[in-house]
Amino acid sequence: MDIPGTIMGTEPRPGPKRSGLLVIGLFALALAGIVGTTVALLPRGGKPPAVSVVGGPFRLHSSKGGVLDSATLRGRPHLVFFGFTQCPNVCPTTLADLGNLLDEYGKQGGDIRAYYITLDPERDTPGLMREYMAAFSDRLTGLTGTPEEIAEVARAYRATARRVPLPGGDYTLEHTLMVYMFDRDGGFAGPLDLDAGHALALKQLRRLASAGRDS
Amino acid sequence: MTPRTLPALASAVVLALVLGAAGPALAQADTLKLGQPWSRATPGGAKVAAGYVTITNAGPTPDRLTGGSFDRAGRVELHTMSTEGGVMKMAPLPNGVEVRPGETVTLSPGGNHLMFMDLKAPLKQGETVKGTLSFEKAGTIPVEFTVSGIASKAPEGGHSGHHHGH
Repeated sequence: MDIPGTIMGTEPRPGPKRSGLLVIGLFALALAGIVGTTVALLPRGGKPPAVSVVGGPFRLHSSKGGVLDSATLRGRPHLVFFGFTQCPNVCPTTLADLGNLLDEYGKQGGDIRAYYITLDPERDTPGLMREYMAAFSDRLTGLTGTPEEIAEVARAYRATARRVPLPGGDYTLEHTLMVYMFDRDGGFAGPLDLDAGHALALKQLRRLASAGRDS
Repeated sequence: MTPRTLPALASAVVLALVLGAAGPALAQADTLKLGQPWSRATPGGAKVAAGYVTITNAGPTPDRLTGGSFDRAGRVELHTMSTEGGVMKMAPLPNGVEVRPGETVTLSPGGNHLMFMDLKAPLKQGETVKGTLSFEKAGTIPVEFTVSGIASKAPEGGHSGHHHGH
């Protein structure tokens, strides 16, 4: 069937209107192409895959006891950050500040948890992590594992950890400070900014809570 | 600690400065003015803490902070910390920190700090811990570190801890 021909034949006023239709038609075609490709590329099935280039699955010792499997975080927006217990300046500050923020968000009816993964698994044993994390909000969980497990997680999260030897024979770590935000689908949603004040950080958390493919 | 006790403590520090540094170091020690040395409460199991202080050199000759001691720690090192591209950088300062005449050097969270290693027990908010600061010329100066909250960015208990020498 030659519809354009029919239209042409019955259209009394050819000109701008018809070329306009043509543009709209081409645009619709292009749009359909984009949507189609996107849908085709979207993963199917019940298992939310790693759509992010940052992050990945893990199974690590929890400071709350037992093993935490990241699969249990599915459906829950959450935060992840890295550090170590022999970090005197930044880590305790971030832990305390983040704990206060999440408690504040909790009072507003929200519920977002944060997971603190040590980059110093040799020294940060599960027992030490449990003792250490008790100083902070219950909404924070400390995680540790074998050096191999931690190295794998750090790689997946693109977190850097570099040992700096100290004069006394000890070492300290240089490491990524970012607090990673993940939406309910496990998609990386950018860094949480703790330096700009709690009002803005709470805004980020609210946005995170409503983000995700299913929303 | 109440704000009222701080001037007393500060005076004590000055007194300690004068009395503690005997002999040839006396003249030099007299010219270093210290703010309230402080640290922060530590989580359970923590093996390290950091010490902070401001040092003003009111004298005519440069001096250098080389280290110190902390009653609760096995040893003390001087470290520097900075943030570059979202990564925390940390390095020892083997040559210490110079305090030039007329200059004030601040050890603070997020910068140069005393690193208290091998903590024997956690630091609790509100307590004070004895220690020393060691200078190349002024010698060893006894001090008392106050312990602030775990995430404090400044010593707690008022602003009178820092006294200016002219």
